[in-house]
Amino acid sequence: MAREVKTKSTAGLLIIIVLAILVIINLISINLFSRADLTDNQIYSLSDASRTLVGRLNDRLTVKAYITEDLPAPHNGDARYLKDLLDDYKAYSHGYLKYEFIDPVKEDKEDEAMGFRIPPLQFNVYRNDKTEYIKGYKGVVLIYGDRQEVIPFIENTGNLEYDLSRAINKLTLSRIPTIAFTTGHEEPDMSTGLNWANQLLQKEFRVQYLNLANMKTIPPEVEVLFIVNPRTAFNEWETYLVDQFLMRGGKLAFLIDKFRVDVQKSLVLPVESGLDSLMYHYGVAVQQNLVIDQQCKMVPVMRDMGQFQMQSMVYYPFFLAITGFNPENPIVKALKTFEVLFISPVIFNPDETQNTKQVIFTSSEHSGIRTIPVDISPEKKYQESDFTMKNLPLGAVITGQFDSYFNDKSIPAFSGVDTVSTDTLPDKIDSVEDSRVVVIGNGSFIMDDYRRNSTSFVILLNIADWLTQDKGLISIRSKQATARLLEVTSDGTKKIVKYVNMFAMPLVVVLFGIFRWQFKRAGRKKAGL
Amino acid sequence: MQQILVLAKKEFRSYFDSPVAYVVITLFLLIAGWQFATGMFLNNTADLRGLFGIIKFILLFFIPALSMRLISEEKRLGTIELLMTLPIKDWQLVLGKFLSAYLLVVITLLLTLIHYFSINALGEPDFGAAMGGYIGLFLVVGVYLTIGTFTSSLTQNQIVAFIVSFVIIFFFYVLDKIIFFFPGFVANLLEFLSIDYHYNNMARGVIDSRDVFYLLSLMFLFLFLTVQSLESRKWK
Repeated sequence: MAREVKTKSTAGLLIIIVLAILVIINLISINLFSRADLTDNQIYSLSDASRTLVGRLNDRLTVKAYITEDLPAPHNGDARYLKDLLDDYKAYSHGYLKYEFIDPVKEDKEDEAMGFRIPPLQFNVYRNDKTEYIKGYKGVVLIYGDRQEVIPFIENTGNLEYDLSRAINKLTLSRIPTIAFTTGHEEPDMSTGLNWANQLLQKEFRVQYLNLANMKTIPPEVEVLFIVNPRTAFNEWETYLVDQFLMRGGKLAFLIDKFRVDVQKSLVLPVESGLDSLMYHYGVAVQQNLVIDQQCKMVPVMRDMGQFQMQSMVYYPFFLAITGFNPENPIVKALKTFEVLFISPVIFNPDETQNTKQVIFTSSEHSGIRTIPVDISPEKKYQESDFTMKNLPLGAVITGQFDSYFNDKSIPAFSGVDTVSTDTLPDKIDSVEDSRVVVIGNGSFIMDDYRRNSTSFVILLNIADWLTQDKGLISIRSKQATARLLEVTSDGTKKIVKYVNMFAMPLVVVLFGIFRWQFKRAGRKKAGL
Repeated sequence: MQQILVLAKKEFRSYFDSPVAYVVITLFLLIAGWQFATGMFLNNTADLRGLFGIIKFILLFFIPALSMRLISEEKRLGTIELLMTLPIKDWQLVLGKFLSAYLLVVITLLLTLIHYFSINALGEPDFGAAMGGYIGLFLVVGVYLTIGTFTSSLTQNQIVAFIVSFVIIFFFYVLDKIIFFFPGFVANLLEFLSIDYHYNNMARGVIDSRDVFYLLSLMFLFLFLTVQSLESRKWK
């Protein structure tokens, strides 16, 4: 067969052409790709919400991870998990997302990390038969234009995608969501207890205070309405406005104290907000009683000791230290303890089945209920039998479809002074496809008196975040890249497993070689060679 | 196709006629097994990431050692001319040689499955991640072997072939580890060119078409270059 005679130059040309084709194929494949996540829990698949989020980026987003290398277990895998996750974000970001890993200690960038308010943490290392502490960092900064979001430390990798997506969402959001608080029912406002809450919220949201009695409708820019501790009842019109606000897609947060409590006088007076049947209609209401819990905080008590007074600390079961958080709910999933004074349990409406109700936190395994008249004196002695109830629901969220409370009622007449406009009233809306409501049996926890209780305000901000978010982000569930541990086995078994892993296969290969050699030799002998 | 398989079979058998293959494979399994077993109960985790890390590193030496003689030996002995007189095309020869070595390496890698079975007995490893790791390894050794085949076709000297293929493989291996010295665009390019970067993606248990395409492209490129290098004898 005659072969073509090639010259050096045609061969060179051919090589260049093949190279070019390969480059083009790869360029196409970069943009047209698909992937299969083989892992058991699909831990490496970004949720659709996160994909669209980074897919929408149109400016450079820089992610800086300030993470100390070689952190001791169980933190050792976090950096790798974060990197994997960021790779996935990057893959969908059309090149707009860049990330870098910085070891603040090694690279002498501790000041930089501090500048982003990423604190140094202490990690325990077990070394030379004793526990030592090493300093390390585990924080992430996201920078987009002149805005930045900081995750000061990665607490658990299961929530990492949610945290990152939330931060990206915040950074890229062009609008600032508006939150409103109702007034006119002796609710706390900026000057009467919500000063600190207001300050915190204003960093991320526009905050308004609305007296519903004088409004024909709640302003359309309001996305979330907080109803915190009304002391007098909402009238029919106000209730209607709240209902219609939800029907047009607004989100509601009911933080309701069911009692006015005077600790000095040991006085507990029920409060009527007029919203109970509305809330129950939506799916969750607050019960008119107080929860006591064996898992509680101490309070100071003054005691007369003959001539003089002495202060002592006693456990006070009305001062709960809540630890039963729902790990699936973004409002509370990262929390450790929430200390709250005088909280009422929530009750679910079993007939309302269109929406999804989820408890967000509960009392401990040893708790109970006190109905009025309640003795709230710290001196009161309690028995084991007072704490027979378990995990009472104290807060809940409702998501999904809601029907108007006024569907089988007449629309109340507008009775206030029209201060907004002379427009006609908007038509009644009968239902909403998808909205969200938060109900908690205490409203005082966000007031200035509790300013030192940081968990309270984390919950407040989380509620506001959760209610203002896109639906997609909420769907990002906590994913656990659980460390798969080996079962504890005896030292003897360990040794055997070790040696099998070391020598079994090399031995197989050697034996195969010997066998084959013997076999061949036998074959040769047979053949008389 | 027939010719390729016949050639591959013959080559594959010839590996087992000399002690070299046994020594190399035994050494490979010993190092991997020893490293894996010592770390196994220290980390106490049921995954193979550690193992894959070691294997990737040993492969840097293992593959050039296996592939160095593939074509260079024929060149040195002059048997290449004999092969050329057979009714077999250059590309068939190259593919046959490559496949024989590939089969050997794949079998060697499959022998390391014992480590998967032992962690499977003691814990619950993520099967998908392990599978992704192996699929990735099969692709990576494919690339390494095509590089080895190519360099083996360049010279008569096995040692030269070993060194040159080691250098090229090491270059692709180390690319994504030096990107911090480069500005953004170059860094991205280097990262994409790096074999290890694509491998790490797969070792997580995520099979991405981009990684697969790139590694297949590299394999094709080096096989093609090998064919060109063989044909260069006839260039004017």
